[in-house]
Amino acid sequence: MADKVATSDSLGLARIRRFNIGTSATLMVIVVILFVFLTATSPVFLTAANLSNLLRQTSINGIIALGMLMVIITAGIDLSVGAVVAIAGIVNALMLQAGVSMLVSIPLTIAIGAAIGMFNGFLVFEVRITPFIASLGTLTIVRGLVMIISGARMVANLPSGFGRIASAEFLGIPSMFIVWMALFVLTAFLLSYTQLGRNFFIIGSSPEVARLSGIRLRPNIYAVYGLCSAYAALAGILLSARLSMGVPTAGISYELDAIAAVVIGGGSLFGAAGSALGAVLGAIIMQTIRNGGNLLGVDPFALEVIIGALILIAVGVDQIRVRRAERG
Amino acid sequence: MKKLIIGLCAATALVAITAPAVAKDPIEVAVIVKATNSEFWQAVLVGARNYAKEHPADVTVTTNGPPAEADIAKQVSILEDTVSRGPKGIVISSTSSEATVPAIERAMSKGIPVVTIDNRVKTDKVASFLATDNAAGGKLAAKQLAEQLKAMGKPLKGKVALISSMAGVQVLIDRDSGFEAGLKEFAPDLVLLKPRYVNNDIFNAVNTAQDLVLSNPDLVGVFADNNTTGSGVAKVLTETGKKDSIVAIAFDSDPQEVEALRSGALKALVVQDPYGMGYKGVDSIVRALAGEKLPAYVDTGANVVTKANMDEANYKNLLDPLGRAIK
Repeated sequence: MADKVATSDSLGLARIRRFNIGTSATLMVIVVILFVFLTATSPVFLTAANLSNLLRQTSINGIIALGMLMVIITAGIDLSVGAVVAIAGIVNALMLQAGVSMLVSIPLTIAIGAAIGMFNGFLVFEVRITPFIASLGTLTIVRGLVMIISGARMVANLPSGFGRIASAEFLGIPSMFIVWMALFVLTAFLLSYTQLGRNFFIIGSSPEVARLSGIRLRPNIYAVYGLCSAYAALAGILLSARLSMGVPTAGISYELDAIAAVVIGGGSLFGAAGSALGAVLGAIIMQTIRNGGNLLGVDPFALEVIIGALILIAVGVDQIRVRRAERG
Repeated sequence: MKKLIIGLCAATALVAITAPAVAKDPIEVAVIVKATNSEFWQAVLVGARNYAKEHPADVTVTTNGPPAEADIAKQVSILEDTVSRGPKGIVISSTSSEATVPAIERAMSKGIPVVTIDNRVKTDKVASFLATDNAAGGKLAAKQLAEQLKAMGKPLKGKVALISSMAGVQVLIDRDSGFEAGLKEFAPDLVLLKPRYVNNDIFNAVNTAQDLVLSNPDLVGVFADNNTTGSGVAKVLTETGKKDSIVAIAFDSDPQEVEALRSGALKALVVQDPYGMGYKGVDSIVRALAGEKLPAYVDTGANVVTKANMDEANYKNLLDPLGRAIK
């Protein structure tokens, strides 16, 4: 029994890894093409100032996408991440305003985020509500709570040290990007080298197989939704640091950008596919197009069409490539 | 038309009959807003209540509204209940331009004058309509931009960016087209860039403003058409140290925008007068009941607030209408 699991497990992972390297290679090519094109058409695109802006602009969605990736790998989805971004920004800002040190408020806010994710896990595992509906309910509840807590008003006048979390640079690299990359390394490690990460893939390919293989679903489901929300809460804290205030309406529809980044990056809503590198590249591609569109003054509505088309092309091309690879 | 004349006659007759009573009992005016959760609508209510407090012998004001602006059905039922209860007059900012029409027409035919504020409803059976002319406000913003540039001794040449909160919202379309028209009139050599829309997301507004400032070295002005975009633009101009080389004008007022006005990151705010809408709305009812013929449309005005005048009482009131509440 144990042998069998190990074999199918490692076989599955080998297959996943092979495909994901292929996906990431395709995405790298897209990124390079975009960078070459924008460098040729805009004099400011490849300047330190713009690249630094671009990295800061991408980090929020990039962080949320890494959490979303893990949930999507288990064949789940979390629509509540945008609402978690808002509540984290507000709760942390209120604590700071009340004089709580950020060394306390930040971990506490991330813990609150994780608790909201656990609530999603509870709904999905114990109550057996499909993740789409469970997290839709949570989204609505949390959005309401944000308005109640904040009185629908922005929470400003935060200590200046807090804003510096987002504006700081190390060797010219924006801190927000460094946080994102740290989470990228953590997520990639977790998915590739830990039992928890492997469990996510197995649950995503078939919860039944996972159960028969002796994987306990409960802790894994709680963990994956908890992690996703904790990432979103961290993104919310960084966002409020970037804006120097908690914004009750922040993060609206951020879940869709995160899902798009994951899917462009080779994730599948059927589960058991996707990689941290892919999600990172997916987020970079999306924001690079927006940034480039602004720099070049592309018609804003045409830009939306372009981004939508790009999502479909990236996913479509990848599907064709994977099918060819499967045929041998 | 015939119906209208009959209705008006009926209303006048009713007023004539009830007129002696008015002198003794204060008349009740019901004020219904789009949502009770926003500062804008709270300011309307403050204006209405202040009118009653200034005329305690003549008017009492009751206020109502759904908790959120999206709740059209709730607002319709609030209006229907109010009409059945029968106050002497109704002031309403109707969220829907259509859903409230039957109840409004019923009130008018019962002799209860209805004054609509902020949003026009699709019937001419209202006593009067009070609103901000947003296109005129946009034009004021363009005029202000030209004047501020001149005051800084800059030629009226270069590019101007327009950061709009959302595409497809009528109020914003009016502001933006007013701004565009104003720019053509007051500074025809300034080139208006294509509008950028940010989904009313302040992070998106910051990112977009960053990109525009960086990619247009000849940018001399920015117009932000609401408080979210205004705060985002102010943040970027402060960060990039361009607040003295780029003139930014924004619509609305919130604490962040007021702070930006003081710091010079925003050079002017174009603000509406929600307090005035509430105050004048109740006043219109009183005048209608007194038999006065009211104009079909009253522009409650858009005003330009700058750092220079922001501490004058009038403008301070416009920036902080909630602070005007009479205790």
